[in-house]
Amino acid sequence: MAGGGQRLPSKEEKLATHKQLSDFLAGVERRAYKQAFYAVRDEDAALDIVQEAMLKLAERYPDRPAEELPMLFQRILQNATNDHFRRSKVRNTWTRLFSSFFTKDDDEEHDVLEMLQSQQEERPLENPEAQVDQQQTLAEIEAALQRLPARQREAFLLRYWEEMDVAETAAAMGCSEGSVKTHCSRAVHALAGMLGARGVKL
Amino acid sequence: MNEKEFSEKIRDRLNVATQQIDGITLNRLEQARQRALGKVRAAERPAAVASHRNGTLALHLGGGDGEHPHHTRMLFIGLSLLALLAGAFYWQQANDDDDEQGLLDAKMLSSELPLHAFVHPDFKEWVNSSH
Repeated sequence: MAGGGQRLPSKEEKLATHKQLSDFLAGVERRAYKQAFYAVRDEDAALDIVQEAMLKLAERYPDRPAEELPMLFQRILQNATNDHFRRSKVRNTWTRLFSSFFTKDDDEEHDVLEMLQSQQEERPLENPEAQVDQQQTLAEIEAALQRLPARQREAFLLRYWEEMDVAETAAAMGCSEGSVKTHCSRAVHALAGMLGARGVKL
Repeated sequence: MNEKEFSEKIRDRLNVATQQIDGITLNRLEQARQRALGKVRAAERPAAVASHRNGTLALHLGGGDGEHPHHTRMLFIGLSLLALLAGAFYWQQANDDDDEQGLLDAKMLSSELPLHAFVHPDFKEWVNSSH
């Protein structure tokens, strides 16, 4: 942001910023939704997280320069995701107190596989073989991403999907550049390992 | 395949995934975006006393939709204070006039001259000749 104390932006600057914000949100919303979904594995929760992140960005940083928006948005998105997990944890604690049902530790693995199955069933396949291959590969990639440790997934998606550089990724994640490199490297190796084990060829 | 090539292939696949998001989800995303942008528009028409711009106090009035109760309240308090100061000044002025009139009345009443002497047509001439 430009320095010089409390100078109010001119009307032209405000309007330009509004358009930039609008364009930015329109451009990032699908990826943001997917990112949130890979983390929480719940469509409604992912939408809520993206909505919360958009609102916070608009309320708190409406006149920030366009180049700062991606980093700010990603930071807010991750905080919103973390808040979701915190709330879920509290809710689950209370649920467990009053419930004697489930859960086994390996349920997550089954959930991923069931989700993969259901995703494949939901989408009608128009062109047989190539379409099937593409969908299966995509499903495998998404499942592998969901299985990555959260910080590795964040670093990988910010660096390689959002195409942030190491410094921007570090700022968005609130960690050092060294940690970003480590997370990214581990994420790539983990993904390659998981996809290789499933026979997926990119 | 190195790390960069691998990541690019994953990125391409993920971009395909974003094109497959269903219409309902896309609608909800658009609604969320419009809601967020609506917040910005609301913030752009403040009913507020803005801060200094090149040394001048800029006053922005608008909205009237109760979205900025803090700024409206500040404006109301400022105007009230101004009215209070103006009233106090007027009251002080009126009191000063009363004091002067009172002093004059007291001197006239305590004078050795009868009251009607002060309004006699030749009173001024008599005062001048007596000095």
